[in-house]
Amino acid sequence: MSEEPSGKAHNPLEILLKRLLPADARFLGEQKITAGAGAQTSRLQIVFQEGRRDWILRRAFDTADAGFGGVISKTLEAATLRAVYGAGIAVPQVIYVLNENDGLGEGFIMTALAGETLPQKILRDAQFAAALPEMASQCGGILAAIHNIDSGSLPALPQRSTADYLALYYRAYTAYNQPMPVFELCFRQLQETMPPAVAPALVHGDFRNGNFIVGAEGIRAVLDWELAHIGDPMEDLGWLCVNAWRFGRIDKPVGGFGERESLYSAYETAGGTAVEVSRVAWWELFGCLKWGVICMYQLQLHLNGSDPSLERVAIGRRISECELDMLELLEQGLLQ
Amino acid sequence: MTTRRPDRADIEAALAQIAAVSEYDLKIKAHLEAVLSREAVATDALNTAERQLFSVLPVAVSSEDALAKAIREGAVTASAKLVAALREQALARLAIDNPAYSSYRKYR
Repeated sequence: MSEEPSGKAHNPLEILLKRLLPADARFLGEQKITAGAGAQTSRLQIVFQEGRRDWILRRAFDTADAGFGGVISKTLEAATLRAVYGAGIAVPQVIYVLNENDGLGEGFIMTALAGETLPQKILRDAQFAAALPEMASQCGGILAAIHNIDSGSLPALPQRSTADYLALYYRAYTAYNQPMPVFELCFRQLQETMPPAVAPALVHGDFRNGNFIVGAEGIRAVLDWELAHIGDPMEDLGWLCVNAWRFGRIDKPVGGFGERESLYSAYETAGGTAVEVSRVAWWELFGCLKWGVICMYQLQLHLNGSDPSLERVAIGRRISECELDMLELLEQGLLQ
Repeated sequence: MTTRRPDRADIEAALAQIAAVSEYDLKIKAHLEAVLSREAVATDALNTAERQLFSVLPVAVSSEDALAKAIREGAVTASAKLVAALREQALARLAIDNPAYSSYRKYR
């Protein structure tokens, strides 16, 4: 552990780690990983007696609209992770949940798992080539397992009917006071074609390429549960197929690595409900729109000065990508 | 609170005021500089796409904002013609914002 000569830790993180780590472990430092829409994540580099084994610190942003778009609190995310870990889903293990005495805000510490998360590398590097054709089926199996978790074993997650969820994003969109024709058409289409309610299930909410830890054998674990809720399970299948998450492999609708048929059949074989293709298509269009509104949110963080980063201003110019993808799906709907 | 498409001034201000320190930031800086370079020569095409969009509408509107409000109020509804015109506008924007995007490359 990084300490003063007296052996005294001198910042809140070091003080906490001194308490959590065995005396013979050394904290080498904190490395920022990402600043996504709903969390700031960093790697805690730690050497234990048996060797290097890092932890991950996930903390909430300290902003007034930290719950944007249905993002749950980090405490609830940690409780969800613990519940799904207990249900046998491959996820990191929560080590510690922060409390106000720690002086680090809201968040938790979890294990760092080995593997690749960067989608471009997963889709491009030779070491993953053999795994890619199997990953759509793997996603189907994992999603069926997530959706079949007994709700009684879960913490009190938000219940989101499809109508409520659409309304949530419409409110977020209109709050930005920037009406855009494609967004308007999309909201209208989604409103008019909303599928009827189904038996609700645990929905991951951000199940996509980029939130998987992947090894040469395929998906090792599922990350980023900050949008978890109880709702229509088909949402996860639609979101996984959104073009933005194919990272250039437009011809591979499932995450840029697989086919819809592989996803659907594996999902049903693993005990998921029968896949309604039109319902998944509805959620895919919703997903394009949702990503567009998230881009607006991130741009807003730049424009209002709460996070004036280059990344946030650049994302404001990604809205045109969402528009083109929404139009593609709208046209398919019009031509049916 | 208004969120609008970040314009040249927003991007130039960000590039001038925010230091790119990490490799990731440097990549984004280069991307934004390329956006501005493309914008300098492609604005006419974007304006043409916008004029074309307004010409296919059943009601007279002269701004994107007004078109969006007309859709919200039901004065303009989805049609193949409208979708095609909006697509041309989106493609003209993507020619500036990110011509490497997969959906863009499908058309251009």
